[in-house]
Amino acid sequence: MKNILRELRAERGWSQADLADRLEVSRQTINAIETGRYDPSLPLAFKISRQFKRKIEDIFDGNQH
Amino acid sequence: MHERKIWDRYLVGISGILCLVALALATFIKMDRHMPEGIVRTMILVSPLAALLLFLWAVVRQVRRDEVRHTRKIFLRYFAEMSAAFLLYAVVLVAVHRFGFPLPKGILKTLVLVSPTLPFLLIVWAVVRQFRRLDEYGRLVSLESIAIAFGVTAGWVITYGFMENAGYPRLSMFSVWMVMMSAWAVSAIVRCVAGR
Repeated sequence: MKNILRELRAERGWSQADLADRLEVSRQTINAIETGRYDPSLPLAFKISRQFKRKIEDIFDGNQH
Repeated sequence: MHERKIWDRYLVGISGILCLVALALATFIKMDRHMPEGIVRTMILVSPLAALLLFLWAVVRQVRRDEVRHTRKIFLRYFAEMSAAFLLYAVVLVAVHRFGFPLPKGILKTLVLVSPTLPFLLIVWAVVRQFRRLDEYGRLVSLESIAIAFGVTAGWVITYGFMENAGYPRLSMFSVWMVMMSAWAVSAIVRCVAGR
């Protein structure tokens, strides 16, 4: 699933490790989500949306795979 | 990526491959009855243990450098639990070898000889706890590695079963465990070296 995680992270000047720390996941997980190799579960998607104060559908594009 | 981190990753990969080579060599030498007893044979037989220690050191070294606190915490806890369980297992194993074998045949000897299973359950418990601590992507990746190992082992067992019919020697059940662990290690190492 396409997403704008990398852009949102870059806006805040966070590294993948910084975001992983905030979400309590591994850096590999963030990398897999950003590159579209892995779609997060609903609880993790909610955690991401809360972290960036955006709606889930604003971050993830459900129409593109 | 930082150069030191790349070397850390290679160190894990190289020491992991070294483990497998040492294990294969030790198995071959153990089965080869023509090789005389001596320092060379002993060194080859204990080399998997040395390689395993090197591998563990490389993994702990890599984990300690991980920038993500969460990852660092869960893996260091896993190593602590696993090391304690392994240590207990080793102690019981040595005690069983020393005192169990001389016992007369009977129910007591059987119970003593299977007693290393109890500390082994602690190892299983440590693995399960770590699996539950992993995040969702970590669990998926681990499951994939285990599934590959399962498939390779099933393929090996079926193929060798037919080879036995063709006259190949019967192997110990322990060979199944070694094939499974090797397949698991190879798929995990490939992911570790190739993964970003």
